[in-house]
Amino acid sequence: MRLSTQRTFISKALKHARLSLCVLILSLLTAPVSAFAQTVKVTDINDFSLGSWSGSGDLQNEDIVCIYNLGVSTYRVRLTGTGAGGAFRMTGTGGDIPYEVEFKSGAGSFVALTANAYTGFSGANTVSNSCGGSPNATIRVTARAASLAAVLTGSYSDTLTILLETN
Amino acid sequence: MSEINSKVEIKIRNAFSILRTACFLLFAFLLLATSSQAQISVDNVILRFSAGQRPVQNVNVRNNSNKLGYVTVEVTSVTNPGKNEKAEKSKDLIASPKAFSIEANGVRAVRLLVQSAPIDEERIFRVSFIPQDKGFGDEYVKTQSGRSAVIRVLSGMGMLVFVDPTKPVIKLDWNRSGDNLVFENTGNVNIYLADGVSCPPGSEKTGSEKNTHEKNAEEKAVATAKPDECPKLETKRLYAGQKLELQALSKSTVTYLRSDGGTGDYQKIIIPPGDGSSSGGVSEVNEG
Repeated sequence: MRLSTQRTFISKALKHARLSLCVLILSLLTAPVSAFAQTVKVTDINDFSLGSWSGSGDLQNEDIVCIYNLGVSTYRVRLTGTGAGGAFRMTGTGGDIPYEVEFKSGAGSFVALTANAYTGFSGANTVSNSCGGSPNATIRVTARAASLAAVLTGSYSDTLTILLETN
Repeated sequence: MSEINSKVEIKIRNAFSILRTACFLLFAFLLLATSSQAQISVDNVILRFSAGQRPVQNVNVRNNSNKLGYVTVEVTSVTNPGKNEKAEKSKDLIASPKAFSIEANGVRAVRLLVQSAPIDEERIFRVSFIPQDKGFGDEYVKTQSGRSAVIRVLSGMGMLVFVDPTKPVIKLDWNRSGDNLVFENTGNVNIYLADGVSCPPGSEKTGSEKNTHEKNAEEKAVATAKPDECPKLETKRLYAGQKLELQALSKSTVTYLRSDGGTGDYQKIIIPPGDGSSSGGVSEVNEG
């Protein structure tokens, strides 16, 4: 009788082997990257919506992102806009609006970035490619009131490209 | 007995039912955990063409967004690496294709080919995979009054590519005198020094607490120190002939992780307290 019970148990377990296979495949998909693959990643990126200008003050917005560099905390970034030479410049029907981009790693201070030039930082998450849910860098863009006042009414936009590299 | 069998069967079914649900939820999460932003990444951001190896390697480029992505590849040769670095467009390393599209959440292989014959020096290249914006603007509704501003963000990835010299020599010397510690790359291949710490003697455990399985006392000092007791030291890639000069208390044990030639294999370097140099020996623990 006991043998029969064991057979039943084994039979049931085998019946669901395909489910175990599914779990195994998912485990492999979510396994950490090999220690020998040098990987960097920037995630949690969002577009900047600076909103409408009220007629006074600057327009400013921030985005908190995750910078991951497997095993190494240092990295460098190059940001480019679509203006001449990669300049940070929004275009619209009523002219162009230059804007400024700053970058902050962790709890450090904001550093003004030069368009199309590399700037080195440290503080990348070296373990989790999602930063363990705690993003570790901030990008801030600012359009100055004087620049906004100099253009006609309308919609202005630009595409900002972030290039991330290891050192 | 049949009642027991029935209970066991119910328990198994419940367990597998929970697993099946978890499995489905995980699949759903993986599918949804993608971005609408154009995010381009590569599997390996450091690539080495070893001496004697075929001059061709493939790189997998990924589009991590749920939209079709366009990418251009930019190859530059780096001179004066690590100092007044200059990057110039180069034909010594060819990327093919140079411009391409990748399906949403897709992967595409890009071939890198070293065109010229090896020379006496290590050559360094940067290969950038830059996302391209197409059709941006149409999706934004124009404002009727006032001035509104939107900036779309794309992300790309740059690779560091090393081409070995004809006869690669890997050699890292160090010299410690008082509170000064100097590393020098006296070979002709880059050496990356990372995760350096300088741990004072107070961070060591007493003899009775020592773990006999550990390899040596220096390693122990690092393993037992509290993070704030071991100041971090500069991380740097040392190219041929370059030095790294550090201030580290003479009584402290200095450890670094070292990777030669961009291989991605790390070894631990342990430098004991007191004056000395690499000619007097250095403890290296293979972490690979």
